[in-house]
Amino acid sequence: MADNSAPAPAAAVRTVILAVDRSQQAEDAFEWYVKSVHRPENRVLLVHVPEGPTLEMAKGQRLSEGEIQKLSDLEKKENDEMTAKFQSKLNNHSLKGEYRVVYGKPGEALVDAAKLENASLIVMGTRGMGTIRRTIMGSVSDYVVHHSHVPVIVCRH
Amino acid sequence: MAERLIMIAIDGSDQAEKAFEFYVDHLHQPGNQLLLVHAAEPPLVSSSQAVMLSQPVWDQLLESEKKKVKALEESFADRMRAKNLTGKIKAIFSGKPGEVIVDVALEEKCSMIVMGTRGMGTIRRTIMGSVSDYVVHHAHCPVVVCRQ
Repeated sequence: MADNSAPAPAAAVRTVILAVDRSQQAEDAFEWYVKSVHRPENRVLLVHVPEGPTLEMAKGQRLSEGEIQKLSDLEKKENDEMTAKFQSKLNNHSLKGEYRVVYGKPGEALVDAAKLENASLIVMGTRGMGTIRRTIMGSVSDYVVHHSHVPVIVCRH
Repeated sequence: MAERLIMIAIDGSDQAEKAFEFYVDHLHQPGNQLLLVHAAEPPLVSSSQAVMLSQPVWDQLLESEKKKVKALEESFADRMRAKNLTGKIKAIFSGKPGEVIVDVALEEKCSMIVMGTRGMGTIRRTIMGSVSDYVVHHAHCPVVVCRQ
Protein backbone atom coordinates (compact mmCIF):
# COMPACT_ATOMS: atom_id res chain seq x y z
CA MET A 1 0.00 0.00 0.00
CA ALA A 2 1.47 3.32 -1.07
CA ASP A 3 2.26 5.75 1.70
CA ASN A 4 -0.17 8.60 1.53
CA SER A 5 1.10 11.55 3.51
CA ALA A 6 -1.93 13.74 2.89
CA PRO A 7 -4.56 13.26 5.63
CA ALA A 8 -7.87 11.76 4.54
CA PRO A 9 -10.51 14.46 4.14
CA ALA A 10 -12.76 14.67 7.17
CA ALA A 11 -16.42 13.90 6.60
CA ALA A 12 -18.37 17.12 6.20
CA VAL A 13 -19.79 18.36 9.50
CA ARG A 14 -23.47 17.67 9.86
CA THR A 15 -25.70 19.52 12.27
CA VAL A 16 -28.28 17.60 14.25
CA ILE A 17 -30.90 19.47 16.23
CA LEU A 18 -32.04 17.81 19.40
CA ALA A 19 -35.06 19.39 21.06
CA VAL A 20 -34.62 19.45 24.83
CA ASP A 21 -36.47 20.68 27.88
CA ARG A 22 -36.26 19.92 31.58
CA SER A 23 -37.95 16.54 31.32
CA GLN A 24 -36.43 13.12 31.85
CA GLN A 25 -37.74 12.26 28.38
CA ALA A 26 -35.41 14.82 26.85
CA GLU A 27 -32.44 13.32 28.67
CA ASP A 28 -33.50 9.85 27.53
CA ALA A 29 -33.81 11.04 23.93
CA PHE A 30 -30.33 12.55 24.18
CA GLU A 31 -28.81 9.33 25.52
CA TRP A 32 -30.64 7.31 22.88
CA TYR A 33 -29.33 9.61 20.16
CA VAL A 34 -25.75 9.27 21.33
CA LYS A 35 -25.98 5.48 21.60
CA SER A 36 -27.98 4.70 18.48
CA VAL A 37 -27.53 7.30 15.81
CA HIS A 38 -24.70 9.73 16.52
CA ARG A 39 -21.75 9.93 14.16
CA PRO A 40 -18.43 11.59 15.00
CA GLU A 41 -18.84 14.21 12.28
CA ASN A 42 -22.18 15.38 13.72
CA ARG A 43 -22.44 18.66 15.53
CA VAL A 44 -25.25 18.48 18.07
CA LEU A 45 -27.34 21.55 18.72
CA LEU A 46 -29.47 21.14 21.82
CA VAL A 47 -32.37 23.51 21.38
CA HIS A 48 -34.63 24.53 24.22
CA VAL A 49 -37.78 26.49 23.48
CA PRO A 50 -39.07 27.74 26.84
CA GLU A 51 -42.80 27.58 27.28
CA GLY A 52 -43.21 30.63 29.43
CA PRO A 53 -44.03 32.71 31.09
CA THR A 54 -40.86 34.25 29.77
CA LEU A 55 -39.42 37.70 29.73
CA GLU A 56 -39.65 37.65 25.96
CA MET A 57 -43.39 37.02 26.11
CA ALA A 58 -43.80 39.73 28.69
CA LYS A 59 -42.41 42.41 26.40
CA GLY A 60 -44.97 45.09 25.85
CA GLN A 61 -46.90 44.11 28.93
CA ARG A 62 -46.92 46.46 31.83
CA LEU A 63 -45.12 44.54 34.50
CA SER A 64 -43.72 46.16 37.59
CA GLU A 65 -39.97 46.36 38.11
CA GLY A 66 -40.26 43.66 40.75
CA GLU A 67 -42.15 41.28 38.48
CA ILE A 68 -39.68 41.81 35.67
CA GLN A 69 -36.80 41.13 38.00
CA LYS A 70 -38.42 37.95 39.32
CA LEU A 71 -39.07 36.63 35.82
CA SER A 72 -35.57 37.51 34.74
CA ASP A 73 -34.00 35.80 37.75
CA LEU A 74 -36.09 32.67 37.26
CA GLU A 75 -35.15 32.47 33.62
CA LYS A 76 -31.51 33.01 34.31
CA LYS A 77 -31.58 30.24 36.93
CA GLU A 78 -33.28 27.79 34.60
CA ASN A 79 -31.00 28.73 31.76
CA ASP A 80 -27.87 28.29 33.85
CA GLU A 81 -29.03 24.91 35.13
CA MET A 82 -29.87 23.57 31.73
CA THR A 83 -26.75 24.96 30.12
CA ALA A 84 -24.62 23.30 32.79
CA LYS A 85 -26.51 20.02 32.56
CA PHE A 86 -26.38 19.69 28.83
CA GLN A 87 -22.89 21.09 28.39
CA SER A 88 -21.63 18.45 30.79
CA LYS A 89 -23.48 15.76 28.84
CA LEU A 90 -21.87 16.98 25.63
CA ASN A 91 -18.46 16.91 27.30
CA ASN A 92 -19.00 13.46 28.83
CA HIS A 93 -19.67 12.03 25.40
CA SER A 94 -17.04 14.17 23.68
CA LEU A 95 -19.59 15.66 21.32
CA LYS A 96 -19.17 18.73 19.17
CA GLY A 97 -22.07 21.02 19.90
CA GLU A 98 -23.80 23.41 22.21
CA TYR A 99 -26.94 24.12 24.16
CA ARG A 100 -29.08 27.01 22.97
CA VAL A 101 -32.32 28.72 23.97
CA VAL A 102 -34.67 29.83 21.21
CA TYR A 103 -37.87 31.77 21.76
CA GLY A 104 -41.15 31.34 19.96
CA LYS A 105 -43.81 28.71 19.44
CA PRO A 106 -41.97 25.43 20.08
CA GLY A 107 -42.79 23.70 16.78
CA GLU A 108 -42.06 26.71 14.62
CA ALA A 109 -38.93 27.62 16.53
CA LEU A 110 -37.50 24.13 16.03
CA VAL A 111 -38.28 24.05 12.32
CA ASP A 112 -36.80 27.53 11.88
CA ALA A 113 -33.67 26.64 13.85
CA ALA A 114 -33.16 23.61 11.62
CA LYS A 115 -33.37 25.81 8.52
CA LEU A 116 -31.10 28.47 9.94
CA GLU A 117 -28.44 25.98 11.01
CA ASN A 118 -28.72 23.90 7.85
CA ALA A 119 -29.45 20.88 10.02
CA SER A 120 -29.73 17.46 8.42
CA LEU A 121 -31.89 15.95 11.16
CA ILE A 122 -34.17 16.84 14.07
CA VAL A 123 -34.51 14.56 17.09
CA MET A 124 -37.27 15.03 19.63
CA GLY A 125 -39.41 13.32 22.24
CA THR A 126 -43.19 13.27 22.20
CA ARG A 127 -43.96 14.98 25.46
CA GLY A 128 -42.59 18.02 27.16
CA MET A 129 -42.87 19.01 30.77
CA GLY A 130 -46.51 18.09 30.76
CA THR A 131 -47.53 21.53 31.93
CA ILE A 132 -48.69 22.77 28.58
CA ARG A 133 -51.49 20.71 27.08
CA ARG A 134 -50.29 20.64 23.52
CA THR A 135 -46.99 19.15 24.52
CA ILE A 136 -48.77 16.39 26.44
CA MET A 137 -50.61 15.41 23.32
CA GLY A 138 -47.46 15.35 21.24
CA SER A 139 -48.62 18.05 18.94
CA VAL A 140 -45.31 19.85 18.98
CA SER A 141 -43.76 16.70 17.52
CA ASP A 142 -46.70 16.46 15.10
CA TYR A 143 -46.10 20.02 13.98
CA VAL A 144 -42.40 19.44 13.47
CA VAL A 145 -42.97 16.19 11.56
CA HIS A 146 -45.38 17.96 9.22
CA HIS A 147 -43.35 21.09 8.66
CA SER A 148 -39.74 20.10 8.89
CA HIS A 149 -37.77 20.23 5.68
CA VAL A 150 -35.46 17.48 6.97
CA PRO A 151 -36.13 14.05 8.51
CA VAL A 152 -37.38 13.98 12.09
CA ILE A 153 -36.82 11.25 14.65
CA VAL A 154 -39.67 11.05 17.15
CA CYS A 155 -38.49 9.19 20.22
CA ARG A 156 -41.03 7.22 22.16
CA HIS A 157 -39.87 5.25 25.14
CA MET B 1 -21.51 -3.88 20.09
CA ALA B 2 -25.24 -4.19 20.51
CA GLU B 3 -26.88 -5.68 17.45
CA ARG B 4 -29.81 -3.57 16.47
CA LEU B 5 -32.62 -4.45 14.13
CA ILE B 6 -33.75 -1.45 12.12
CA MET B 7 -37.04 -1.53 10.27
CA ILE B 8 -37.36 0.35 7.02
CA ALA B 9 -40.88 0.53 5.62
CA ILE B 10 -40.86 0.28 1.85
CA ASP B 11 -43.50 0.51 -0.83
CA GLY B 12 -42.88 1.36 -4.45
CA SER B 13 -42.50 5.06 -3.83
CA ASP B 14 -39.59 7.41 -4.32
CA GLN B 15 -40.11 8.61 -0.76
CA ALA B 16 -39.41 5.16 0.63
CA GLU B 17 -36.26 4.95 -1.46
CA LYS B 18 -35.14 8.31 -0.14
CA ALA B 19 -35.90 7.18 3.42
CA PHE B 20 -33.69 4.13 2.81
CA GLU B 21 -30.91 6.32 1.40
CA PHE B 22 -31.17 8.72 4.31
CA TYR B 23 -30.85 5.85 6.77
CA VAL B 24 -27.76 4.48 5.03
CA ASP B 25 -26.15 7.87 4.64
CA HIS B 26 -26.94 9.45 8.01
CA LEU B 27 -28.07 6.91 10.57
CA HIS B 28 -26.54 3.51 9.92
CA GLN B 29 -24.20 2.13 12.54
CA PRO B 30 -21.95 -0.91 12.00
CA GLY B 31 -23.63 -3.96 13.43
CA ASN B 32 -27.14 -2.78 12.59
CA GLN B 33 -29.28 -5.37 10.81
CA LEU B 34 -32.06 -4.29 8.49
CA LEU B 35 -35.60 -5.50 8.22
CA LEU B 36 -37.28 -4.09 5.15
CA VAL B 37 -41.02 -4.37 5.45
CA HIS B 38 -43.21 -4.02 2.46
CA ALA B 39 -46.64 -3.42 3.96
CA ALA B 40 -48.44 -3.44 0.69
CA GLU B 41 -52.06 -2.74 0.03
CA PRO B 42 -53.87 -5.53 -1.81
CA PRO B 43 -54.58 -4.87 -5.51
CA LEU B 44 -56.40 -1.60 -6.00
CA VAL B 45 -59.82 -2.66 -7.04
CA SER B 46 -62.99 -1.40 -5.46
CA SER B 47 -65.20 -4.11 -4.04
CA SER B 48 -67.91 -3.40 -6.56
CA GLN B 49 -65.45 -3.92 -9.38
CA ALA B 50 -64.04 -6.99 -7.69
CA VAL B 51 -67.42 -8.68 -7.77
CA MET B 52 -67.47 -8.19 -11.52
CA LEU B 53 -64.04 -9.63 -12.12
CA SER B 54 -63.81 -13.20 -13.22
CA GLN B 55 -61.47 -15.49 -11.37
CA PRO B 56 -58.80 -15.53 -14.13
CA VAL B 57 -58.73 -11.73 -14.30
CA TRP B 58 -58.41 -11.48 -10.53
CA ASP B 59 -55.66 -14.07 -10.54
CA GLN B 60 -53.84 -12.16 -13.22
CA LEU B 61 -54.11 -8.94 -11.22
CA LEU B 62 -52.72 -10.67 -8.16
CA GLU B 63 -49.91 -12.17 -10.22
CA SER B 64 -48.87 -8.82 -11.65
CA GLU B 65 -48.92 -7.29 -8.16
CA LYS B 66 -46.75 -10.10 -6.88
CA LYS B 67 -44.32 -9.55 -9.74
CA LYS B 68 -44.06 -5.85 -8.88
CA VAL B 69 -43.40 -6.69 -5.27
CA LYS B 70 -40.73 -9.22 -6.24
CA ALA B 71 -39.03 -6.64 -8.48
CA LEU B 72 -39.10 -4.08 -5.69
CA GLU B 73 -37.64 -6.53 -3.24
CA GLU B 74 -34.88 -7.49 -5.63
CA SER B 75 -33.95 -3.88 -6.23
CA PHE B 76 -33.63 -3.27 -2.49
CA ALA B 77 -31.73 -6.52 -2.03
CA ASP B 78 -29.26 -5.28 -4.66
CA ARG B 79 -28.88 -1.96 -2.90
CA MET B 80 -28.25 -3.63 0.40
CA ARG B 81 -25.59 -5.85 -1.12
CA ALA B 82 -23.98 -2.84 -2.80
CA LYS B 83 -23.72 -1.02 0.53
CA ASN B 84 -22.68 -4.10 2.49
CA LEU B 85 -25.79 -4.15 4.60
CA THR B 86 -27.25 -7.29 6.09
CA GLY B 87 -30.90 -7.93 6.60
CA LYS B 88 -34.08 -9.41 5.29
CA ILE B 89 -37.15 -8.31 3.42
CA LYS B 90 -40.70 -9.16 4.39
CA ALA B 91 -43.80 -8.50 2.33
CA ILE B 92 -47.15 -8.45 4.08
CA PHE B 93 -50.36 -7.97 2.16
CA SER B 94 -53.02 -8.26 4.77
CA GLY B 95 -53.87 -5.56 7.20
CA LYS B 96 -53.58 -1.81 7.30
CA PRO B 97 -50.00 -0.70 6.57
CA GLY B 98 -49.72 1.39 9.75
CA GLU B 99 -50.79 -1.48 11.96
CA VAL B 100 -48.59 -3.95 10.10
CA ILE B 101 -45.54 -1.74 10.56
CA VAL B 102 -46.20 -1.20 14.27
CA ASP B 103 -47.02 -4.87 14.96
CA VAL B 104 -44.06 -6.31 13.08
CA ALA B 105 -41.68 -3.82 14.71
CA LEU B 106 -42.89 -4.96 18.12
CA GLU B 107 -42.78 -8.68 17.29
CA GLU B 108 -39.32 -8.48 15.78
CA LYS B 109 -38.07 -6.18 18.55
CA CYS B 110 -36.90 -3.48 16.17
CA SER B 111 -35.06 -0.64 17.79
CA MET B 112 -36.07 1.96 15.24
CA ILE B 113 -38.50 2.41 12.32
CA VAL B 114 -37.56 4.44 9.24
CA MET B 115 -40.26 5.55 6.83
CA GLY B 116 -41.40 8.18 4.37
CA THR B 117 -44.64 10.10 4.65
CA ARG B 118 -46.17 9.43 1.29
CA GLY B 119 -46.86 6.20 -0.45
CA MET B 120 -47.50 5.57 -4.09
CA GLY B 121 -49.92 8.44 -4.24
CA THR B 122 -52.95 6.36 -5.04
CA ILE B 123 -54.42 5.90 -1.60
CA ARG B 124 -55.56 9.02 0.19
CA ARG B 125 -54.17 8.16 3.57
CA THR B 126 -50.74 7.57 2.16
CA ILE B 127 -50.81 10.90 0.34
CA MET B 128 -51.80 12.69 3.50
CA GLY B 129 -49.13 11.01 5.59
CA SER B 130 -51.56 9.35 7.94
CA VAL B 131 -49.75 6.02 7.86
CA SER B 132 -46.62 7.73 9.21
CA ASP B 133 -48.77 9.65 11.71
CA TYR B 134 -50.27 6.39 12.91
CA VAL B 135 -46.86 4.78 13.29
CA VAL B 136 -45.41 7.76 15.18
CA HIS B 137 -48.26 7.57 17.68
CA HIS B 138 -48.33 3.81 18.14
CA ALA B 139 -44.81 2.52 17.71
CA HIS B 140 -42.96 1.18 20.74
CA CYS B 141 -39.66 2.53 19.48
CA PRO B 142 -38.28 5.72 17.88
CA VAL B 143 -39.59 6.52 14.40
CA VAL B 144 -37.63 8.34 11.72
CA VAL B 145 -40.03 10.26 9.49
CA CYS B 146 -38.52 11.31 6.20
CA ARG B 147 -40.38 14.00 4.29
CA GLN B 148 -38.90 14.94 1.04
